[in-house]
Amino acid sequence: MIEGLLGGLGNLIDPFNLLILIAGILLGFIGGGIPGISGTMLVIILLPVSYAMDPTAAFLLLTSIYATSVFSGSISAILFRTPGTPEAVATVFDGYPMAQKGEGGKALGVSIFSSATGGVIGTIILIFLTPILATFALSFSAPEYFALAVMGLTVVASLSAGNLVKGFIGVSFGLFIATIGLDSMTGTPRFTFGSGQLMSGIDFIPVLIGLFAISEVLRQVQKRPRKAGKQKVRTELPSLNLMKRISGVIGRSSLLGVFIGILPGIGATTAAMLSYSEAARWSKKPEEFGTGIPEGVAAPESANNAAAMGAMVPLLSLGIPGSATTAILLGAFILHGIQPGPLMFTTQGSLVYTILIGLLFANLFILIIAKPFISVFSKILRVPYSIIGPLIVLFCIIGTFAVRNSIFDVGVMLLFGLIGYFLENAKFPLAPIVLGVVLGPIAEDQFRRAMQMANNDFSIFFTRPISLVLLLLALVSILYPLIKGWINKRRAKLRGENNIAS
Amino acid sequence: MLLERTISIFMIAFSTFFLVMSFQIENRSGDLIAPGSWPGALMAIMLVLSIVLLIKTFRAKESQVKTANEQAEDLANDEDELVYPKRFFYLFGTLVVYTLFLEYIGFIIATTLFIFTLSLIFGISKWTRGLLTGFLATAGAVILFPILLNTPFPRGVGIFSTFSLLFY
Repeated sequence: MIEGLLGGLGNLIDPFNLLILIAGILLGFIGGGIPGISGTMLVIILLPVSYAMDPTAAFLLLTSIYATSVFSGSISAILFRTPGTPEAVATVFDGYPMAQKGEGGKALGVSIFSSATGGVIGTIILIFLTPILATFALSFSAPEYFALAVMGLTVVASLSAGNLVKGFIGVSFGLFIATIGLDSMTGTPRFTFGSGQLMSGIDFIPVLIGLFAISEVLRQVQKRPRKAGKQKVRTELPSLNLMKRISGVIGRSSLLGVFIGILPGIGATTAAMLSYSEAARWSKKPEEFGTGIPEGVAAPESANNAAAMGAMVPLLSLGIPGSATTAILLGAFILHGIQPGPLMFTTQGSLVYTILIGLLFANLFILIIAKPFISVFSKILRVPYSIIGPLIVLFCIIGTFAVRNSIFDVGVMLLFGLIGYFLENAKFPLAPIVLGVVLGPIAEDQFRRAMQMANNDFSIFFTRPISLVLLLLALVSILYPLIKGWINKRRAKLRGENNIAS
Repeated sequence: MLLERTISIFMIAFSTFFLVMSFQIENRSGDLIAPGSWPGALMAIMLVLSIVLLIKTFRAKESQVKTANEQAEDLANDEDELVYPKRFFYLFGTLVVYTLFLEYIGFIIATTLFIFTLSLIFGISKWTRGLLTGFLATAGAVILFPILLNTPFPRGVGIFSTFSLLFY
């Protein structure tokens, strides 16, 4: 592993790759910083640019954007009370009060420091855990992969929005979309209606771009243009004393964040919210949270960066994406002809280690680049959405078109933009659909392969220990919210009865 | 709530239709698990869940416990009402028109006009600025993709194709 990491470092030092890494970091900063563009969207937008690059450069670009956009969402969260990315929502709670107290610079400094620390801790765990998990996964065969896919899907569906029914409708819809086209096992056309274009299936890039980017633009266009904020702040990195004060919070939140990130389906946003409430619970003065204290910025900021790195663990080791953005990264790997998963360490070892080292550096660079970036940030914010919006749309179209040079795909993207817009208005979580589309071929093929292995005996999924454990976990993730809801209802009912009795 | 109900009705129709369709996929191999079984099972699940959702929309009035995610979303959506609902249709209409015509009039002219129109829909302050955005965005895209990265872009037909050959 050490040689691998050193080799990765060697690749990274290559001037072109280093340049790409820094470009990725800056783009991540800009994208995360501007409300309305999330890291997910930016990775989507830059997919077409990455098609033409060699895989090392392409993935350095995409992963560094992913890593740093999580941090820069906090800038506008602290200064303008508008989180630049969903991950930075919890940062508003204490970040904005700090800015109101005139401690905006200090809050930004705390955010920079805790993001970088959280990210580095997350990356270190990622570096050590991924190979171990990948080695373990080498013994997996069809039933295990099917069980893994099922677990990923159920966890996403049951946790992503708190509405089980909607989550599972999304999953089955996504899985269904993936079945359109020629059946990979028998070559039978499915749901093609005689159309040649549908024969090759619905590519998931247009689906992703439509659901996440187009639907968002369709929403943004209806909003009042935002006013450019005019706040001058001097970012100050935390003093040694303050570092000591928040180090406990950062440590705990980072570990919590990585753990949450590794679990499929719960992303950095939830990690940030949870670690904020955990930090308040652990604190000796929980009542101070929300009034503008550095701990309240440190907790979510370290957790969301750590969680973003944690979400890379299942992607790189098992080939199962844990969040929407990692699903897009999975798509990017496939476009480059690389199948993420346990074999990647042997077939693409150099690439994986370069990505890991790149992530480590991207997080470290936050410390150095963030401060000068924030001072030019206010100028970037002055570019109106009436220019950014059309450009996003253009990039979406080019990105979709360039995958297969197909205008039909652009149409698919528009359709899914519309679907995504309405589903999101009805509070349907979109992540389950995306994971369904991405994991669909894996789930179906492995299921049918397993059935062939066992001569159509369903018990194969329950007699193999790993597959059994994974399926049980899937079952637990479905039952847990149901049971919790039932207990809550009962408690409320009991309380109600007590009230009546008294 | 009304939107949710409409969507669940759409989903019931969708899943019923494709459930029937999956039964009609021929099973040439004669396996127990036919090509149609997997999508059929999915559509059956979706149908049941959509019906559950539809029923839920009729009796949902109980207080909802908000999850951390929903709270976060509420905060993120704070103070952004959708003040220009009509722009949704303009934008989507333009997108459809652009997609339909792209193949015939080629990337350069279609995109310049498209970006210009979009910037107007997004409410740019001066139309000259929108035109400039259109030109620059198209020029940038043409330089980056067909010229530098060798992505084949639609050229259009007839005179438009000849025109595009001047650039890429």
